[in-house]
Amino acid sequence: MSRSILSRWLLGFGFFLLPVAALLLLILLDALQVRMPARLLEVGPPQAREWVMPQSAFWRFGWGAQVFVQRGQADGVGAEFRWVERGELESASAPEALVRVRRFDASALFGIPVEVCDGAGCTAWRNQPLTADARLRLELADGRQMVLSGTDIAALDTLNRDGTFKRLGHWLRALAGVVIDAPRNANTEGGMGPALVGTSMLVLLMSAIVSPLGVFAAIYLYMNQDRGGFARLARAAISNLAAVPSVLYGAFVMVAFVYGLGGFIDQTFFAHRLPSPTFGTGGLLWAACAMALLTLPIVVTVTLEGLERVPQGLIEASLALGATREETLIRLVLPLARGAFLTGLILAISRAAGEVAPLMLVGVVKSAPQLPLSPDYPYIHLEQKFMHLGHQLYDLAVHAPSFEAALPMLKVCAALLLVIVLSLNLIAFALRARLIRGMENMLP
Amino acid sequence: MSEVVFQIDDLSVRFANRQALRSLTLSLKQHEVSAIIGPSGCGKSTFLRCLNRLVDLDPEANVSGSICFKGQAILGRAVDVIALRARVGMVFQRPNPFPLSIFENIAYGLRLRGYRRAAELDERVEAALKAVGLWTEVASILLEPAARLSLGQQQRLMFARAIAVEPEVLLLDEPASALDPISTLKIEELIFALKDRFTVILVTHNMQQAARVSDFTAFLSGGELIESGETTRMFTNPTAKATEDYITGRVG
Repeated sequence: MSRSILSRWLLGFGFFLLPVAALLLLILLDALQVRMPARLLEVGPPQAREWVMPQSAFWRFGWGAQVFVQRGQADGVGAEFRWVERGELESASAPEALVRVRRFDASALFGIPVEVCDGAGCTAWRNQPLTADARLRLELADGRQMVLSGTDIAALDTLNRDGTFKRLGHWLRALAGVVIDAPRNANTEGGMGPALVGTSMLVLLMSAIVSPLGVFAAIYLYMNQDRGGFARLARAAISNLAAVPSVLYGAFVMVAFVYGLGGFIDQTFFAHRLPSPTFGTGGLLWAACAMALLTLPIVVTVTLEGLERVPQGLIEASLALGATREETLIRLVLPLARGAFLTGLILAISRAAGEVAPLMLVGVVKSAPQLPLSPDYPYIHLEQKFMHLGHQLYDLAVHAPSFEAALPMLKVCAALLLVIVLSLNLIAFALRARLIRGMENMLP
Repeated sequence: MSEVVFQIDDLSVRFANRQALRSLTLSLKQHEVSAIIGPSGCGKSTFLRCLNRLVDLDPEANVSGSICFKGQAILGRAVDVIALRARVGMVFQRPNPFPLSIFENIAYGLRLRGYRRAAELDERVEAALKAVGLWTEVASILLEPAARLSLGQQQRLMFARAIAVEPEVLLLDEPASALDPISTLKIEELIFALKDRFTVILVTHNMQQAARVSDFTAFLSGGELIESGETTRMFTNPTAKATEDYITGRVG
């Protein structure tokens, strides 16, 4: 008895839960450290000094002989990132005057501000707020000075002077920015905002399409389960659909919906815009259709299971009271299967949130100039191309100009995707548990 | 001589590979408690399910012969089974309350009949609960899940659910077989009280129960009607040997 429990725990935790938990923790910790400001350090001999920022604020607790650092140099002066010997960093100083200047359209600079000039003349820099017409003179590590226009500067962080709380504030603001902002610099800077909006719009639209389809299909199969023939064939087809590779759904939707239906819609309703396509090209609507088709088997199977789990005794009781089959379905069976349908939908959503391959054929893009949701009529732009977390992950990993520069965003992207999918799965788990408990409570 | 409610002629039911009922002919009278007794597997439940056509739910069931309910044939495709079931209520072997509140369990059937007004629903639910003697026990917990009640209370709730919609006949499929002796006694008293308002057809394998509550008894064995007649006569002076053996406990 105790041995079987032990082995079950070993199996359960050792082989499945632990690796999953460890992976999750690793990705989340990594993502949380993104944009976490560390102290700026001075390394190298005096004649070739360099100002660097370790990419993790906890680099002292890490392992490995070298530490990955960002070099806040002027554009075109060597690589933006490099590895530094751990020993060298440990003995490095952190000059108080050093600041980080974050720029809108280029990488960050590390330097010592010298003076600020505006229309009224120049004054020494004393951490005053910069107006738009001000110019900042900044001394860089190699001794050169650089003049920056106030309009180029996104923010100026006095990291080496700030206390822990101020740096914490920096970090939280940076994290929020990473989640909310629009991407810049080939997606390596800025944030995930459009991809988050795109992903959630896709998932919402997919749910709106798959819910009625799935429920009606499940009801059809449930009501016709004894009649053999077509219903049995449909049941087999549904289970087989779940095994079709997801990219095939993308290909199917591209041919049948985008070129077929979309082309027809364009010719009929948007002829004045041709030859530039409106619905005849990939877009949010078609991507949602592909996802709905992809997840239909999940919704149908789980809903059907819920319908069939309603005890025969209850159905007989309802029929014996003079209810028709339809009344029994609507008043008794469907309410009892509500939880199962919700579980199916959430499983479908978490599948859809993580699926990328079919989307690449039907409307997802690296960078969408406009959100599919806007204050302009008709507010939701179904025909528009959109950004998606999963695709952004792929794009950052494969197509970023510099992998090191893309790494922080890559980590955040992976973590966001994981958090979304995981929390949806947890909701499904909780719902099912509640449903089972509810049924136990109510059933004889 | 009271009126015949069910006239059954030459009724046979066959499942895929099993003959459940064989050429049964029987008439059941109004405002009587008719008991159908017999060993398990003798087809008495199948017989009961023919009377409200619940037997239709089994796609393998093959029913032949004729059943007339108050002069109207009720077997065959053209019959409106929904209307039939509205007139012939049923209580099952195990209490099967809907996963709803006590109130909603009874209101379920009333709503099917088109009762919508809250006052009317309240009144009829209360009347049904009073008729089964459950009102004083559940009046304060009407909105609690029905499954919280004890098994015996649940079964009386099932009686209330069936009679709330005012059927003419009550089919009882071993209604006390899952209950303790006290609850069984209450159910028997209830059956006795309901006799004035409904025609009751009681399937049971409990001979004492049949003897206590019924006016008329039919003994089934192996899918065939062995003997039927007035209960007192059946239990004191059975004509068939099989009946005597069963009643005296030598068989079954």
